Amino acid sequence: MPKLRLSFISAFNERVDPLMQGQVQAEGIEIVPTYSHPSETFWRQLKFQEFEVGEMSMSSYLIARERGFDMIALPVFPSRRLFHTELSYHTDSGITKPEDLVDKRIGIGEYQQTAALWQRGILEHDFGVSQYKVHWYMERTEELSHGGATGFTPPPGISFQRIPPDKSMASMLVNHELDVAGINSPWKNMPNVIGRSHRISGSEGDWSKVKLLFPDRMAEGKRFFGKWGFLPVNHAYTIRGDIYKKYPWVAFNLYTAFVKAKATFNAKLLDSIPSGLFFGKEYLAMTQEILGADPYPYGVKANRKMLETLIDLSHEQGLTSKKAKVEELFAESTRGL
Amino acid sequence: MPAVNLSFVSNYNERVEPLMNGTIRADGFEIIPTYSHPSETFWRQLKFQEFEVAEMSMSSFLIARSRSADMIALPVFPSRRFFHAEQSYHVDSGIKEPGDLVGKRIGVGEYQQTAALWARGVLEHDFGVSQFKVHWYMERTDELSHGGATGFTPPPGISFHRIPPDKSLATMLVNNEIDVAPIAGHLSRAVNVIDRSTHIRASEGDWSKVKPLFPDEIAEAKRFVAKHGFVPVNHTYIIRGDLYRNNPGIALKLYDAFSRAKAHAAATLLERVPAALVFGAEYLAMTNEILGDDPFPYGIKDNQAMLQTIIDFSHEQGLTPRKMKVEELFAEELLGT
Repeated sequence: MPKLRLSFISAFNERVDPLMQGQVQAEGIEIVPTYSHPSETFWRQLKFQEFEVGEMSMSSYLIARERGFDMIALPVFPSRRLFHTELSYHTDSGITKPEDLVDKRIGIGEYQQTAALWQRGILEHDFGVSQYKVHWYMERTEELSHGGATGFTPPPGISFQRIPPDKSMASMLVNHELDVAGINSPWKNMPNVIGRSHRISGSEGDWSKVKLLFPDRMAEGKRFFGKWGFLPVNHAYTIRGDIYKKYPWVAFNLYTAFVKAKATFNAKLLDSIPSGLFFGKEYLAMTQEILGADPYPYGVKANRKMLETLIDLSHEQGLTSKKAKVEELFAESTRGL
Repeated sequence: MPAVNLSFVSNYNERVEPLMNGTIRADGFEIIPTYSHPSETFWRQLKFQEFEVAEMSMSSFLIARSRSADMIALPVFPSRRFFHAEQSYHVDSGIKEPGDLVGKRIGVGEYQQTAALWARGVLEHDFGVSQFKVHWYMERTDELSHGGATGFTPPPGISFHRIPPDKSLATMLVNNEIDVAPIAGHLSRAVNVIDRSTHIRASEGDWSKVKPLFPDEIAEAKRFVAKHGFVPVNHTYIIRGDLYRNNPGIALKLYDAFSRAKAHAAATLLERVPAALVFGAEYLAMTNEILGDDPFPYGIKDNQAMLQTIIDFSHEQGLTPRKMKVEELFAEELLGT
């Protein structure tokens, strides 16, 4: 039986992998997978639209849609994190709690990336740190950034600087040329052509002077989830416009395949916890106690509050000029899901 | 000099995997890996000595050595668990705490298996449940058990029964035909030819009536480690006698490779924790807090207490006719490790 072959790009994600490995098949579709670091994926997708289906930064997607990029998203959100709890500070900065960030220098990979959007939004709304009263330092260059591909200019009123090309977030934080960044040890990520912290890793610096802004990440996770009711999204998946117009059925077929892939992973989640943790079952129970049985809900309905928050934050941070409607972001047949 | 091929049988174990998949190499040897469930591995190895290097049950190894089986172990212990804390009871049994097990019916996969040895020993010494005052029910048949291969007969004074061939640990526990067994729900793990609970799964039973004997396994692990100072071993690795004699230096080279494989696993542990746990770094810190930085020590010195305890338990449970000496168990050139 012939199938539609679709190029598909994504980082490894345990909830998506059964689909990329072929263990779960989308009806009528044969996926040709490319594993790729998100920094590279989004830049390639936003600049060259190389892949027919691809992982996509939610923040850059909001921006790209507003500027008429021809792609449509599926309401699947397999990558989520508590980004604001990943921030660390240099102990010489005088910071002892999140509220102390006012006037400080904060490093980010890219100003418009989803992680930075959530960090800015939560610091502002939950800890009173105005985005206008801190100094932002961005690592990626204009040529190789997602913002370079979507036409980024620093929003008015923001104190915006670029990290010099011979430095990185890691080297600047450990040398206290920055006060805060989302990194707390020499960078160990796989090399990618977009970021610099893996090359300029700051490994010679004194990392004992770099501390987590939220020393008890689980307590902060509990507080955040209790107040907001969701785990912040990082990426979704998009279908290129030409494919979606020619084969509109692809959207729903892919959506149900993503759902199946997630269920396939969840069924073996407990077995996939390394035995070196010993108490995997107990730890999984603790996570579910804090974040509920499914911290990665799919569909528009189950994510409306999260999506509206993201849209509000994007607009309030000057990344998008008007607030998108939740429905217009997703393929028509998936809007009611 | 061309590398010597070594047939090598083991279950997947993250601390051994780098050796089986070729990430870590043993100097001068090429490993030909067979992945196999321990239930099958030990039966094949004890009965037919098929492999040159094999994972081996510590308890069955003590028995086999006491009967002069021609194999020698390496002091590597990459699989360890709190076996006694994996027991569950049927609520209709009247059991509330471990001390209530006196007079009850306890199911075991196999009487002489390492898991059962530790469960018996810890219940007896830490909770006052005499091995002679409970009724033991064994699932594996004589033909397909490790005991069948090493000449097992029930020790004198033990109340020993076999689970009928049309039943399993799982069905008997869920129907309260036994009171206690190391099984908490219908088994989802892969079928193997030795264990009936992987065929007769009792998925139709009322598992809400089956409760863990230690509802807080982490607290019990803490207590156990504080008292005994180790995590109980399950398996070690043996070299077949003919190979050991014909390859001087093989024990040292394999020990070195096992040690490097473990170090590799420890260095990559955090990145192998599923993202779905969300707080992986925090959980790993909790485990290290309870069990120390290396819960899987290799070598004789760091395992003295653990080895002496298993030797004592084996003898006191009538599995070995005398207390084995450490020197009879491990390759001579590794006795100083």
